[in-house]
Amino acid sequence: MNDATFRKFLINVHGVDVNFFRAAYGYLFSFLLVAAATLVCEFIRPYLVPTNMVMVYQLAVVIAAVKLGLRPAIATAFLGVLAFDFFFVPPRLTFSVADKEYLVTFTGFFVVGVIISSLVAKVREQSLEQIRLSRQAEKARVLQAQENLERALLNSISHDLRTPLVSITGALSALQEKSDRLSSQAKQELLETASDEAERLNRFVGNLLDMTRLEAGAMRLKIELCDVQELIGCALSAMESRLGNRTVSVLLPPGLMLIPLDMVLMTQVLVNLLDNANKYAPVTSAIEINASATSDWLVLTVADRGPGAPEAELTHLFDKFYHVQIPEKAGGTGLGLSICKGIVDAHGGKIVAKNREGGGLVVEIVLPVTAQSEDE
Amino acid sequence: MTGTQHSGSQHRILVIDDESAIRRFLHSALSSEEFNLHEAESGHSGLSAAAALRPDVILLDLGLPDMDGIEVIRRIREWSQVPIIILSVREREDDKVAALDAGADDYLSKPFGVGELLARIRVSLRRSLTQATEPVFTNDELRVDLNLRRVTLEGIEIQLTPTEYDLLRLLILHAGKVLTHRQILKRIWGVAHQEQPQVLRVTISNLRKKIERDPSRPRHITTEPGVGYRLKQSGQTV
Repeated sequence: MNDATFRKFLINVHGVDVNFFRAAYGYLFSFLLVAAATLVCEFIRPYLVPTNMVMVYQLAVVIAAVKLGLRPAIATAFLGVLAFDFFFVPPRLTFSVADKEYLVTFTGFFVVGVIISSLVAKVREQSLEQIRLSRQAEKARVLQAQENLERALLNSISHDLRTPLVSITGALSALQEKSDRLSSQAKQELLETASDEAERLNRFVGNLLDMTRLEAGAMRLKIELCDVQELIGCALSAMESRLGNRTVSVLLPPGLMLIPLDMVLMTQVLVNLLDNANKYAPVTSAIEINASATSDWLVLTVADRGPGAPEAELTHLFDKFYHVQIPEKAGGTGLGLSICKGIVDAHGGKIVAKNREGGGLVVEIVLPVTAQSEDE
Repeated sequence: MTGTQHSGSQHRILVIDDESAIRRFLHSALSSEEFNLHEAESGHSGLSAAAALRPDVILLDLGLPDMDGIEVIRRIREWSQVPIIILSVREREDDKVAALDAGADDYLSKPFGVGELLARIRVSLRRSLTQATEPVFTNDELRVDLNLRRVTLEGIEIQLTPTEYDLLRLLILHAGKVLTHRQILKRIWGVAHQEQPQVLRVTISNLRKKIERDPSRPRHITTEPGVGYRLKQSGQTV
């Protein structure tokens, strides 16, 4: 017998064991019920005629039927007859019966016991079935909700993947097929469209991959002591072409310590926040980046003068695929902020959005200054 | 298509990438009077092409089907110092660092533009052709005279600590090329400090405060997150 079949064999043996013990437990319990009923009858024996003791045994049968199921209940009825006969029907402590009328009592008791057992068992099964059905319904409901969410995600994703592809394909086919009839300015515009949209597509795919990795728990942080100014510099440099001429002010306290964080991922967080601010805030308004630190926390904020968000929606901003109702042009996938939250959470930090005095949104990231013990 | 005549002034570029679409794009983007492009679609054929062609630059995709890209770098480095530029996707920072530490010269994150690609190729070519660096390095308002150990910003002399100067000098000697944290730490602080990037970060931060107009938007020393540092060169379109 090779190892695998041996293991299978053991499992089978084990499975048989479990069933066997469960059954044995049922019958053992019916035996104990009968014993208990016999003890009770022994106490009341001076006050009752034996025939009435059958009631006590019948109670044991009902208990067995409710608690243990059909077969142990029948066993209880059967044992009950034997015990009743042996201990209480004269001549006592033998199975012989002096008064043959007791045979009717025995038969009646046993038949009633079996009927009660099967009725109770049926009710019991029905209620079990009902529980199972309601569990199934609950499961189906959860599945449905999940399915709805997935469908929404899929719609959103396919929309965001396809839109840039439509522009790229369109621009390229125009250049390919109508090249001789296009002015050089038109060609230039088509090329710019295609290249901007390709960049957008690339960012979206990047976000999608980040999200997938976060969800799968596959995002490993590479924590190193980092310079906050350098971090901000990396984010600004990645955003350079998108920010264009927009003013971005950076305010850092002098002598800020090195902070343990994953440089690549935290750069992504700042890029996403800057991208959001850039999308929603008027072109002429400034974006402000601030950092401050206490002995325990680093606080990084990115603030804009955009429309902000309704108070009730502030906490939902970081939900996956959540869009604040904003004019169409901003677009975006609603993935950016949830990725930020995922990354900040992984750092043991917090991220919150607030409306600013005087209008606009400020997103605040709070990170621990001492390294979190990372469970690998 | 690659069989155009070899003229002496043309640089031979070997592309090792299994994606035919990427080879095709590189072919149309690079084939010119300046470059002569050769293609290989696997690690093994790339290695034999490298030996047969003796290219001036190799563009190597790290995700080859038959062999680990880092292994390709190691095998080439056994007998050649030809510049190797890696093509890799954004998320694989660790792979890039491993490839650079294994002897690759630079990397490009896919997707990349032709401008970026040409800049990398030119930096690599210049490095392999002229080993000696100009004694005076200038980039916009920054001027460093390596002979006199003199650093000026808009004509005003700047005092650097010996470590800051050594770091700046190392970056100048490799201007335009990325250096990993480990490579810098090893050369400036010695092997013992190889695993202590925070020393490097503090020195970079101090150096930037002295030579950058706005240290939050560095124009000279740029950070490649998760990989290392690069000193920008005037005229570099990156």
